[in-house]
This record gives sequence, structure tokens and C-alpha cells, in this order.
Amino acid sequence: MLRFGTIRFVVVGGALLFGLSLVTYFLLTGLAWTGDVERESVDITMYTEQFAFSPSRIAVKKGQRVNLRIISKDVTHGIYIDGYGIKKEVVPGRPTVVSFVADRPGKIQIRCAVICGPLHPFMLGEIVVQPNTSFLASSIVLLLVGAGVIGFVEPGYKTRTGNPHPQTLRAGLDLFRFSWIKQMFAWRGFQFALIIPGLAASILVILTGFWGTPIGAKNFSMISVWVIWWGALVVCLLPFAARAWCAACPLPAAGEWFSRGAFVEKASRSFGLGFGWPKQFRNRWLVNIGLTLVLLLGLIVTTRPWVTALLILFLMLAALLLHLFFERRVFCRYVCPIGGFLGLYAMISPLELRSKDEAVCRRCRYKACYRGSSPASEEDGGKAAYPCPLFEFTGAMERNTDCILCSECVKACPYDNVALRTRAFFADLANSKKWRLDEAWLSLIMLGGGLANLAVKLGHWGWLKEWANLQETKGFLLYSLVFLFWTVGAVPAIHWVVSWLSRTLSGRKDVTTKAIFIGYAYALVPLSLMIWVAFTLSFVLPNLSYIASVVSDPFGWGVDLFGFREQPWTPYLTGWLPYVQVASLAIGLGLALKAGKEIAARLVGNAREALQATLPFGLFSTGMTILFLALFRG
Amino acid sequence: MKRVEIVAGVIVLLIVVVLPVSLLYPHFFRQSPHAGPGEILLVARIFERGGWKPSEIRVKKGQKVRLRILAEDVSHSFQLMHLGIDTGPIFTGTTKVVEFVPERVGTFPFYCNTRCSTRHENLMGLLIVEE
Repeated sequence: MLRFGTIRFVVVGGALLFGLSLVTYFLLTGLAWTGDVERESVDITMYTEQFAFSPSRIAVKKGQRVNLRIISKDVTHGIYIDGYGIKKEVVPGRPTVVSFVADRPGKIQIRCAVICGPLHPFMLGEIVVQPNTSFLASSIVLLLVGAGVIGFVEPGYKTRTGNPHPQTLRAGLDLFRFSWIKQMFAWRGFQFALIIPGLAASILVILTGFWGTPIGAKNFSMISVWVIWWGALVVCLLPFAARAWCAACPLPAAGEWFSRGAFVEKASRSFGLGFGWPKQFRNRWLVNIGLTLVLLLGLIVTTRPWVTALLILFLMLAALLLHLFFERRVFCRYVCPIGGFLGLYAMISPLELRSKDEAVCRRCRYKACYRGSSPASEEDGGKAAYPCPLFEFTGAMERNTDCILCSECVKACPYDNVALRTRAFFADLANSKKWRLDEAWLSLIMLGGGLANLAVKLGHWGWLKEWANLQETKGFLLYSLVFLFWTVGAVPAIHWVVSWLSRTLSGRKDVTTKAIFIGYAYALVPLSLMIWVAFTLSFVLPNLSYIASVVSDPFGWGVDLFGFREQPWTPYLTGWLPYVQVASLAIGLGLALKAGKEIAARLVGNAREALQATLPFGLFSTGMTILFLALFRG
Repeated sequence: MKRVEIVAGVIVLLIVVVLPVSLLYPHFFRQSPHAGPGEILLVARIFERGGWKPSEIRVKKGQKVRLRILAEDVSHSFQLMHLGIDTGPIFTGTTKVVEFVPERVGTFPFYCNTRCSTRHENLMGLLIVEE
């Protein structure tokens, strides 16, 4: 006999799936609520100016022929219309005429097609083909996802109390069973070999940043850092490979080599002074401050080659100084803003480095992974290895956050007790034992800062870009105020209200609002990750084709090393960006709500109360996601 | 010291010292380091950033001149009216090649003919044709 729960699951799931596919169909074909199709044409005069179109947002009706007459007010610009394959230059003094039939509803992004200055990649305008059913349908998809995950995937609420020990997720595949992976990690030169390509690239970035062309799109530093590195980091490494980047990162290399007094081998003496890191800084607050500042200056950092070069040089010097004074890699654990958000998202990753058997670690006399190898541990089968640079004891490590996959513990362990396992996605988020307020804030900053970053860079508001570009002090101060108010004021405040509502609705007075505030901040991690993925793809795909010309002429000096320097700019797959963005948001929202449910169950323990506690959070994250959707597609 | 350390040290030295020096030395200490064989590289920048580089080009009368013009910061163009040359817009980051044989001795001004900044009109260079 079928149980009632199963029937309900099938019926509701089926209805949901049907609704979803219906909406997706409308979304894809643009057929939704067609109404009467306009056939006449509309003439619009548009001006271009560094770095905005004016008017920057135009509304037309579906089916209309749009005749754009574009006039440059200053230098040469261009126009590229996403999804319509139109690309034309706009030379001053010569109006350019572009004509197309707006046959698909929704927002069309228009881009400047000729490099016109530093902010050129972010010179964007919008044509909204009304009725904007694609935005409406996408919102409905997000609402359905939200309602579906919150209300119907009932098995998510398990009446579990306390902490499930992460060791229960043992089922994953140990990658060290592949002997070549194990040998790689056990090889003394592993990390050095990882760092070397990055070091060469970063030296080239510093050189091109300082001595190359100031035009980012034609400078190796900008394209290699913000298109290749950032793109690969956010889209490939963050969701899947924990802090793998940190193992290869060249920033602390100089400091580490100097303090160790060796490049590859384990040296017996060290050059650093080896002070302990002050207790009050053993948290992520420095990371939060650094990250907020980098996000605040995001537009300048990502468009000025010399600023990026300076940032890299500054981080290298900071790491060097910290290595001289303090023990191990305090830079990577407590200071580096990149390491900070990598640590946050590493919790999601389906890959973890852990001890195989905790009992072995408890009995272990050497603790060589934490203390570094000793003659005794090497006698017993371990290899020469440094102590964990991030102060982790592999035997007690429960999260990916502070593991940089540097391979030292794999070498150090005399009992071959370290595994590199696959596991379920975001297994670490619900590990409430390790929840911390500073990390909760980091999560909120990545979300709020992500929205501000998106509005500045991919929005159509030229004045906002001017303010964020430090063109005038007053505007920049105003922008900074609004940015900070939003990122470290409004978003955490709303989140606090949501937590308070959750507490009130659940009726559990014994759970503090602070605990809920922290817990739900962890649930937002998958959402902010997917938002960054969507943003990154929206920025990387249009600018991918610069790679060829920049490799051929890294400094923009006019040389042509491989014959690609005159390669024209070709945006890739921009017609697909709307779907990519909506899909990313839907996935992010779904995962965040699923994590939220699990976290609510962890917080209040009872299924009914957990459901009630999840409602405000579900509303908040769905609303936030629709806000992002409005920026992308509204 | 172990051999591994020495090899690693050499690799690091190559990256940190030899790479920068080998890239920057010709740029700063060699005459027209980035021009191809038999051509003159002329870089166009807006007036506020220093204008044409070089701002004076010396050529010999009757000898073919191959000029490659790079628009570095925004789109520019190259116009030399005495020889009837106008490249039309050279879009940012790209180059255009102009070839001509100067038949007259003299000093000829060349301009940018695509508005490139508020001081676009000041963007002038000289072609000096010598005997």
C-alpha cells in the first residue's frame, strides 16, 4: 500500500514539475502573454558618452522595428546588441543607424563595442522589450522554487538535534586511492610546482600593470586576472575544489620561502621570528574589512591595470612581512581577503581533506600534521613535512574553511591516515559546532556587496559608475556611504529582523536571535556563490575574446608575438546569458533554502517549529533573489 | 645545499629577475623596440597623455616609409594632408599600416582626424622629410 506521504509527494512534485516546465517553455519561446503584436517601427536617437548610453534604458513593444540612431558626444564608441548579433562602430560626427525587430520579450543588454576608456567593459545600456514576460516568468520560476523547497520537500525536516558528526559522510571516494594523485601529494616539490606558474603569471601581471597600456582590455594584467583567473576561480574552483587555489597561490610564496629558508625541502631552521598571532585577530574580521574595501573599490580595481598590480604587490608584501614576524601562514588564515571568501565557499565544495580514522589520530604520538615531522615520525613512516601552515590538526578538522590542500599533512602522516574524499555538496554549512559570528558577517558581505557590485558594474546607470570611479570626491563619498550602508548596515539589519521573526514564529524562546542570525547566514552561502557565478559569467563571456590579443601583445605596446593582436572583439554566448543568470539564481535559491531548512531543523529541532522558522528566511532569500533577478533581467 | 634547492632557486631567479629585466630592458633602453622590421611604429595617445609618440618622424626623401599606427587609449586616426593620407578611424588597441614615398623635402604636420578628447585639435605631430 502506498503511504499518504508518498502520494502527496508524487502529486505535489508532479504539479510542481509541470508548472516549472510550462513556465520554462514560455520563458524559452517568449510566447507568454503575447497580447497584440505591434507592427509599426519606432525611431530612437541615442547618445553615447564615456561611459554610458543616454537614454540608458529604452522601452519598446514586442514586434516593433527599432531604428536606433546613435550619436557620439565625445570619442569613438560602438554598439553591440546581445542576442541580435549587431555590432557597429559609432565614430564622432557620423551618426550610426542600427535597425532590428524586437521579436523577443525581455531585457536586451547593449554594450559599447569599441574600447572607449578604462570603464569601457562596463559601458552598458538596456532595451526592454515589453511586456517583459521573461522577467515575470523568471520571477514565477524563482517563487515556485522557493515555495517548492520550503513547503514540499518535506524529508528535509528531520528531527535531529545536536551535531551530526561530519565523519558520518564517510561514503565518498578517497582520491588517494588513485596512486598517481597520492604520489603527487606525497612529492616534496608538489606545492612548489603548483606555485611556479602562478608566480610567473603574477610577475607578468605586475610588469604589464605598471608598464603596459592603461586600457585594461588590451593589458595582460586585467585580462589574466579578472577574466581568466577570476572566471576560473568562481566558476570552476569555488563550487567544486575547496581552497585548491590557495595551494597554488603565489602571493605568500616569497614570504613562506624566506621564513622557511627553503623552496622545496624541509629546512631545519627558519628565518622568521615566529611570534604568535595576537588572539584578538584570530578571526575573520580583518578579512571582512579587507573584502569590504576591495568590493567598495571594485570598479577601480578591475579597470585599472596599475591598481590591480599594486593590489597584488601589496598582498605579496603584506604576506612577506607577516611571514617575517609571525609563525606559519597567518596571512592566509586571518588576513587575506581572497582566502577569506575562498574559505567560506570551500564549505560547499564536494571535496574534502580529512583523516581516514580519527582514532588513529587520537592515539598518534607525533601529531606530525600539526607539529611538523620529527625524526621520530619520519622513522615511523612519515616523510619530512612542515607543520600545517594554517594551524589545523587534520585529526580534528571538520571543515574545509582552513584547509588549503597544501599537502604537508599527507606527507607528514606516518600512518597514511589522510584522505582526499568526495562528499555531498555543502556538507560543512550545517556544522553548527563551528558557526561563528565573523563568518556569518563574511557571508552577508558577500551577498550585500555582491548586489552593490552588480548594480555598479552591470547596471545602466552612468552616474553611479562615475561615482564609483572616483571621478569626483563628493560623488565617491556618497557612493561609499550608500555602499557601506547597504552592505554592512541594511543587509545585516534585514537579516537580523528575519532571524528575530523566525524566532518569534517558531515560538522557541530558548533559541537566541543571534544563533539564528548566524545559522541563516551560513544558509545564504550557496545563494551568494551562485550570484557571483552569474555575475562572473555575465562579465567573462563578453570579454573572453580579448585573451587572444592580450597574449599576443601583453603590454599593449604594439608587438605581435603570435599573430593574434588584431583579433576583433567577439562576445561569446551573450544571447544565452539571460538563461544562465536565471538558472544560476534558481539553483542558488534552491540550495540556500534547502540549507536553510536543514539549519532551521538544527536550530530548533522540531519539524513544525522548523518549518515556521524557515518561512521568514524563505521569504527573505526569495525576495533577495528576485531583487538580483530585477538587476539582471528587469 | 641540496641540488633540488639550487634548481628551484634558479627557477625562481629566472622568474623574478630575468623575466622582468628581459622584458623591460629593451622597452626602456633600445631605440624603437616594438616596431617590426622596416617599419616605424607610431603610437597615438590623447593630448592629455602626451600625444603622438614619437611626435617627430624623420624620413629620407624618395625612400619608402612604412608607418604602423597604434591607437593606444581611445580610437584615433592619422591624417597627413600634404601627402593626401587619412587612415580613417583606428579603433582602440588596433593598428593600421600606411605606406608612402615622400617626394618633397620639408616639415609636414600630421593630425588625428577622429575626435579623441576635448583637446583633440592639439594632437599634432611632424613628419620631417630630409634630403
